[in-house]
Amino acid sequence: MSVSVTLENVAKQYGAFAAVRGVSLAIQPGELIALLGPSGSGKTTLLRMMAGLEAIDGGNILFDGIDTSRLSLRDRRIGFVFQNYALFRHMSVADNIAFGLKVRTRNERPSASEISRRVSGLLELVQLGGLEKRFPSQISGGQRQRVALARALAIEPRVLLLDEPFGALDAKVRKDLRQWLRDLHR
Amino acid sequence: MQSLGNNDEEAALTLGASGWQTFVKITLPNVKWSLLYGVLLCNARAMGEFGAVAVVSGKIRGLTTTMPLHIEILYNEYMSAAAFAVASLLALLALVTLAMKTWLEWRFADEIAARSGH
Repeated sequence: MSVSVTLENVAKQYGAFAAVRGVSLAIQPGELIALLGPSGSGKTTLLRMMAGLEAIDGGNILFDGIDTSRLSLRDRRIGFVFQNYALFRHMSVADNIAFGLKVRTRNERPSASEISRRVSGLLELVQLGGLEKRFPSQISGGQRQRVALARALAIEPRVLLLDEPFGALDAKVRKDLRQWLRDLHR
Repeated sequence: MQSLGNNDEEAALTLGASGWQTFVKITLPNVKWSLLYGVLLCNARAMGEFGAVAVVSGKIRGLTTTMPLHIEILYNEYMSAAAFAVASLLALLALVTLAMKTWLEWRFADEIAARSGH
């Protein structure tokens, strides 16, 4: 399901400021990679370019050797967990997770029962069973983080991108989630 | 909408939603109370419009008058009873609008609280 990701001399310019300058990187399928750097060093920009949220000013991003610049966001099938999670605050936890499945075109969309089955499966996976009817404002930060993760996993992404996924959590929760994420990755 | 940012929209797009789906399912629900509030205030403003309508529209009875203009016309024709009837109606509508505005503000406060807790 996962693909190899290759960055070739990727560059991004914001006016006169070079946010990303000629980054090349090869990531094998199934590999877990972390980008480290001080704030403002372009980590988020790089992730956003891989997700297709930001246009690239130079170089190529390839998924399994296919240039992504021609792929739409939908076709890239990327799971993206945002720094602030960006959960839909007017939707329950279950609706948040189901969103990516519900917006598929009719012939690709699983049936309603299949969707609810997959949502409860994901809720089990992120250990949030029983919270499906809650709204994002009614759960804790660590729980929101896991909802965001489940929502990104629901579309069966080929690549999962996490932008400072533990930045807003306290040390204890962060440690638990990090371990949990490693186990999930295996 | 600007203060809300476009984080939610970006999240919806990465999940595979089309532009239209994103607008209907994410953007509109996020702004619906503010939007309704704006419509209500705009409606209140329009209901009480006097000067601009009088000057621009030529105030033709039954066609291009507003309620305040209609009250003036009736009053000038010494139809006090009719004038006061319409005036009472206008006052009533104002009260209804005020009630709706208060209710919306109360609803809206909940939304804001939910948002800052997010």
